[in-house]
Amino acid sequence: MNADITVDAKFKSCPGPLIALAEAVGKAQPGQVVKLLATDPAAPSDVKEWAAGVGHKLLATEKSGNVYEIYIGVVG
Amino acid sequence: MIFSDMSRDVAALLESHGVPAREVYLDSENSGMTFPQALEAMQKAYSGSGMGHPSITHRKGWEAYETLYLSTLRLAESMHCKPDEITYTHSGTEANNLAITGLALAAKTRRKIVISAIEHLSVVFPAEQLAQAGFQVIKIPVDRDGFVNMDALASQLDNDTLLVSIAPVNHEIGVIQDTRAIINLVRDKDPEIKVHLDACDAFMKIPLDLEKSGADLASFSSHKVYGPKGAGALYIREGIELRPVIHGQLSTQKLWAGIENIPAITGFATAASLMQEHFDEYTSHMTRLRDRLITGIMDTIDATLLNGPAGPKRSPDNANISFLNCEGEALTLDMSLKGVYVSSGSACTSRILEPSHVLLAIHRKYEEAHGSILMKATPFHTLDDIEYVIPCFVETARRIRSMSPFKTGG
Repeated sequence: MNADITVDAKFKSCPGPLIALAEAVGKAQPGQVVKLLATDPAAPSDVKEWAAGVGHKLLATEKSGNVYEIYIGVVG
Repeated sequence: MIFSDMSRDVAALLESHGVPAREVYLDSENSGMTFPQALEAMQKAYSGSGMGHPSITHRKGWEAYETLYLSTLRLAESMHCKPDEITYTHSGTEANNLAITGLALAAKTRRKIVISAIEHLSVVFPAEQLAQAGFQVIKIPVDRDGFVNMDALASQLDNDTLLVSIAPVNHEIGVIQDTRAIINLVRDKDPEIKVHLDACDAFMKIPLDLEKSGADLASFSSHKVYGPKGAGALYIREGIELRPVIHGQLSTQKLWAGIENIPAITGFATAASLMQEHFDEYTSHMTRLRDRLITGIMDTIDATLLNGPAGPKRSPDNANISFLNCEGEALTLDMSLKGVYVSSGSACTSRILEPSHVLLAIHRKYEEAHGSILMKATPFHTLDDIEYVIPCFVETARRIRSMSPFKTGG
């Protein structure tokens, strides 16, 4: 999946990945896709709940080795 | 575009979260609210009476010494011990480390350290560190409610046992151990074995009299009695020898280097005195709120489990419930969006997303432990707060389970 913005939060512990993602999403335009790279095992569930709660779309969660790739569709 | 540098600016996250119309903070296990009277006492200490260094020979030093001394008198009265038996640290974690490692460093021959399987990580980790230095660490199993197996404990008490460390009240599941029976068992087996009580969660939640208890060491944490963070204490019974575990310039005490945090200790003493003065009122109030929280959730949401015992053997503040087919992290985040702040297991456990060792020790399955939520009632909460929280849980559990591949009602 292609992303407009990539947020590299590898090796950051909770809540670092969510903080970085929220900052990037806040600066993104509606319709853009933000990709979060994270190694924290809590990141997938944290991002899923955060996106559901604040109204953005969780498009996909993939794992490559120890790195999660989480795609968020920005909703205006 | 790549954000390669970690931003610590949480503004965007806070903005996306928004400010809920109502907030109920139930996470005093990890960090809590402070009595206004404690804050007021601290402000006075910061701005005057506790400003100086208590070991320095000038007026401001003597004022600080007096402030420290008066706070110590109050704490000693609350703990039922002598003022000289209190050593200050900056947290309960530090007190536990000093108790276990300090005793081990002073030990001449004995090499066995006995703890329960549900102790706080600030007991478990120092013990495990000592295992690397040649000590033997034994973890005593507990039953499904968290009570220590007394036969297993008895079997580990011999002339090589240095220490038994048990929390009278467990921080996660609130189980109240039979501390008297444990200490009697240890004394009967061998009076030379030392007993440490991690009393951080017992202090001012259940009656605790150090002089009568027969304990040798006991740890305390200010924020667990609604004082400020940054103050802790270790009770060291007169005649017990410890070695320091940190080194530097000594102040008024021999075992913990560095200046005492006098304003925080003043707040700690004020909070402890308030809890002592209103002990019956506050513990009854917390018990009512705890029971309403537990029954309100478990009567209305299917597939929930109470972790720890029900009834009088449970700490008055503690509610720990597993929501089956829910991820604890998901619950905490969704509840946060509703303004209800809770934690999943202990904070340290949550950070590494491993099931809580306490819940696994009481035979919870991994999936049961993962869906656990820990809440603590305080004297500051009202019944109306709890009535607000219960339907929030109903809605959150329903939403999270609707996305779960498992079939569960609720």
